[in-house]
Amino acid sequence: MIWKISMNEISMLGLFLGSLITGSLALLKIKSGVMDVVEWELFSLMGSSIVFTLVLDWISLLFMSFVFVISGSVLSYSGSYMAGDKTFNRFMYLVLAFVLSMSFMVLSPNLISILLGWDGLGLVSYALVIYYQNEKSANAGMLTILSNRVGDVAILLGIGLMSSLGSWNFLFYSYYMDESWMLLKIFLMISAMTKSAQIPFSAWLPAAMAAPTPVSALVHSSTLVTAGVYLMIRFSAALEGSMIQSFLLVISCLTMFMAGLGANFEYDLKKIIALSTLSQLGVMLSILSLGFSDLAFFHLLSHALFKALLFMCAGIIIHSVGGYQDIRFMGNLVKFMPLTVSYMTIANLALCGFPFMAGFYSKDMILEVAFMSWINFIALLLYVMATGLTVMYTFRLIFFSLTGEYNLGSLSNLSDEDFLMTNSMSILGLGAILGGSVLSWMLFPECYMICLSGVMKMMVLMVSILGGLMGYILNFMSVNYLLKSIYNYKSVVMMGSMWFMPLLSTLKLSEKSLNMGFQMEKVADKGWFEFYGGQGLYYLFSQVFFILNSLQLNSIKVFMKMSMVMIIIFMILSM
Amino acid sequence: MSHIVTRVTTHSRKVCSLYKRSLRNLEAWYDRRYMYRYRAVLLRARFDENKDVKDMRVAQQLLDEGEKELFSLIHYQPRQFAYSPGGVAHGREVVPPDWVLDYWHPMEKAAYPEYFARREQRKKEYIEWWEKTYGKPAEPAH
Amino acid sequence: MTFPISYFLFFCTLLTGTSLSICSSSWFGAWIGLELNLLSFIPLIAIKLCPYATEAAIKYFLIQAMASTILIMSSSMHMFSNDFSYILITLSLLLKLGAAPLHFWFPQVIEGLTWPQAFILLTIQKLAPMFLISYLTYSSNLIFMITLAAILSSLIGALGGLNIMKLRKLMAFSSINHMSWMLIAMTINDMMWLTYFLFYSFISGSVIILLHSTQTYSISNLMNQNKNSSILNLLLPLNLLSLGGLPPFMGFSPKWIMIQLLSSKMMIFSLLVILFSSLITLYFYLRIFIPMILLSFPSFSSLLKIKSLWAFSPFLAIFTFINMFGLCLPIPFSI
Repeated sequence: MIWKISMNEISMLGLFLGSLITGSLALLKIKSGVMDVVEWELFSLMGSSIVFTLVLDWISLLFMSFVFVISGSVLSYSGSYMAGDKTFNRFMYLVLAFVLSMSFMVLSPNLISILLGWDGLGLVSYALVIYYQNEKSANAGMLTILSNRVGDVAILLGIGLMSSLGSWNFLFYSYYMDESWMLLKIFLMISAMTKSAQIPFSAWLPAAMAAPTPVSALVHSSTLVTAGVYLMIRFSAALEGSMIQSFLLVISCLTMFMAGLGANFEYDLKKIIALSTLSQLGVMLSILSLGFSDLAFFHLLSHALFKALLFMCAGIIIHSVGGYQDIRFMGNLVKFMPLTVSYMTIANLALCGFPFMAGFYSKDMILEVAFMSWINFIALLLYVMATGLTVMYTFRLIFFSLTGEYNLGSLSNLSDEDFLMTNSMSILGLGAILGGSVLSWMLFPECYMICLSGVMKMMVLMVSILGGLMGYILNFMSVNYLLKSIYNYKSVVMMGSMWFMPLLSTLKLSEKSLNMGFQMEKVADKGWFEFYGGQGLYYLFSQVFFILNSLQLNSIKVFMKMSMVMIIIFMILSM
Repeated sequence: MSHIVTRVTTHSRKVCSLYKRSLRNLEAWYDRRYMYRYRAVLLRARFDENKDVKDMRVAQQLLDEGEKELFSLIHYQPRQFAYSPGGVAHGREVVPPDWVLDYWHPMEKAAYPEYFARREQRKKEYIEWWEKTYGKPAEPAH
Repeated sequence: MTFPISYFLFFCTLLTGTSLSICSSSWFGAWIGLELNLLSFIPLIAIKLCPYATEAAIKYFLIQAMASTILIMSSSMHMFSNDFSYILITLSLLLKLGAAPLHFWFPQVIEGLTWPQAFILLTIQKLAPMFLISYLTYSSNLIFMITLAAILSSLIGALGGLNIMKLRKLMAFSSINHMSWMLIAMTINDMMWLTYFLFYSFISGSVIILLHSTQTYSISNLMNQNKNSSILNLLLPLNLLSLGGLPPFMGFSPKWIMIQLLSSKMMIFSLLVILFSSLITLYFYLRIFIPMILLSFPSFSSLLKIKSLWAFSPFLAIFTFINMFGLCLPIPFSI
């Protein structure tokens, strides 16, 4: 029991220490502008050297520092959240394994050695999603691992393609990849899209919310899902000016919009936050595909801070309302748990880009830079709408859970008294307030030059205010109010279920492939292939054999005659 | 195997089931308590309207229409209790059944000698009790 | 292993005949060598006066005599019709070989022989006609004819052996099939067919030693007799797979070389045909030993239970070793 309690404390201390070390190293690297590369050659194969690369520059070190600080808080937090669990130690080891594979992924941007971390992330996240052993978790886990597997396969194919270069250090080779490397770029984009749950693969991210909430806070919001963005940041030089860029822009803008819209119709607390994560991933990838990878990285870091905080608040709420995740079962929590609610509001406001919170510095800059660059009207529209929708679902969430009527069960015990949980949120709370400004001073010593017309400059603010008002006011109801959702049933259902993406990527996919397999087996394997394959060939050969054998059953005289005939036939043939 | 009808469900049970499901569906759509009560009263009124229909053909038709209407309005995320079947927290922790202990390896069992000795004793007692209550099980025919 | 001294004499003259015909500079000399070879093989067959052997000797004599007649006739004609005579010579040599469209006598003759005689027929007796054919590959007409014969013999060798229960006949058909590879090789490269021939003789020797030591002549014999000999159960399948050309064994290496050679020469069609038919031969090799493996009793002893196997054990060891590791043979040369 002593070990059980101290496990989370020890890991928290270790991780905070690691964060401090990597963070200060990152500061040194930023100051000096030096990148340290350590290559350990495992073996050389036909002139292609297979190396384990460690790249220590400010990007990887800063990312590591953030991963460590978030995982430290989350581990300490789960000391209370998972306290009653029978397999608490397994949970702790899994989260630590996650941190380990995350560091492998971050530190070695080499297409072969990244697989160690990349596959490790997939495996550990699967093990964490199915940590609870009910049917929902099992389904969600299968969806998660299989969607991620697509990306793993894409990386494997990319390894095959890159072997012609003689090395897999895409970090350096990406500067020299022209359009003839389109296929490799497509593969890497697909793997990034699966990890970051972009549109055709986005079903897994909300499904993965079946994992325990600390896991969602660490894995499925702030770090794992940004692995795809990180890969693209490292690969961004090759994306510059290629077709992939515009494709990725379209996909990520659509994801951003879809997730924002879906979150407005979602009732599961964790899934709302997951969808907002999805929307923010869309923001990161879209600005990356406009060519500003440093902005994407900036948003990645600040987003990690407040999103982890948001999830941890959600975890406390779920914990204290007794396992319920449906926001219809919550309400007026501000009366009972003021500290948690204020952390949650901070995180929410940071997410919306409320001025001078963490999200403001990154998101506002991203939007303004995007408005300034050459994008078409649809992309612009999607940006604007997604921004509004973000504020809208945030305020809807606030309305439903934090204010409004008390909707909980008649027996409930709500309080802020669990100091292990609230204390571990304090660092991230600080980060959600200050993180953006500190990071922007650190990463951008020179300001971005923003030159916009007044309308465009105010656009973000106006849209946000409008979205906030709509999100809050549209949820007021009077007694004899007829729900508009019922009258637009079909569109509401479509938006509420992520444009049917979970259905399409589970039921439809498996149904079609199973049917196809059944048909193939019936028609081909047990049908024509057998008829013309095994059985048919055997029949044919036996027939030929009987002819040949009957020729053999003759006397020597006939053989001599036959030989003469054959010789004559051959003579005629060759004449 | 739940799709195989093994018993006759009476008409009134079907109506009651429809009523309950409709209420739950309303609860999912109208998320405020007072609004839900208002709608529930309206729903009840609709059911009560036809409660005196004696002609079974009409009643059957009304029931079918009701089912259809419910299906067309079913909520995409029904409100479910967390620990009930279908809820998020349902069946999170698997409770291993008691007989798993019987499959422990002798070496594992040896770690808890007292418990397993008592367990064997209890098993014997149970069999004795069973045979005393119900008689010895019949010998297999073959 | 006792044999009369006359065996030795006839064996020497047989080899002399072969080398005479290979080395001679005129077709007449070649003919003389072939005749010598024929006339010394007949007593080797018929040295035991049993009716089967005598029948085989007579059949062999008649066919070979006919081939020799055609050979000497056409070689004398070659003054007035060059093309015609060479085609006839090739055909007569194919008849001597027992290659495909002229193969009828071959299984019949081999049925009457014991295993050592069959081995001589399968290997040494092929040497002289093969060499003589390989001298003839200069005109496209002749090459076409040889290729045609190769393709036909690959098909017939594969399909003809499909349902055969007699092991000697099976070896004859497999030899016809292997001959197709040699004939194809001959049209490309003289060295190549000789290599193939050496590999083939080696592997068929390894199979025949096993069969001879257990005096097995049909598949049913195999199943009944060697219940306790697990070493036979182990070695015979491996040697047969090697004969069929399955990759880890030595039999694959000449085929490998040939596949590479043929595909580099863009002879895809003939390559496809002979590869497919080799696959079918693999089927009938499998058919020999699968029942033997499945019907044998499980046994843990790997001792040589049969006395006669002991007598051959040094050969067996060498042959088996080479069969297993023959694929590694080129490695010392490649370093």
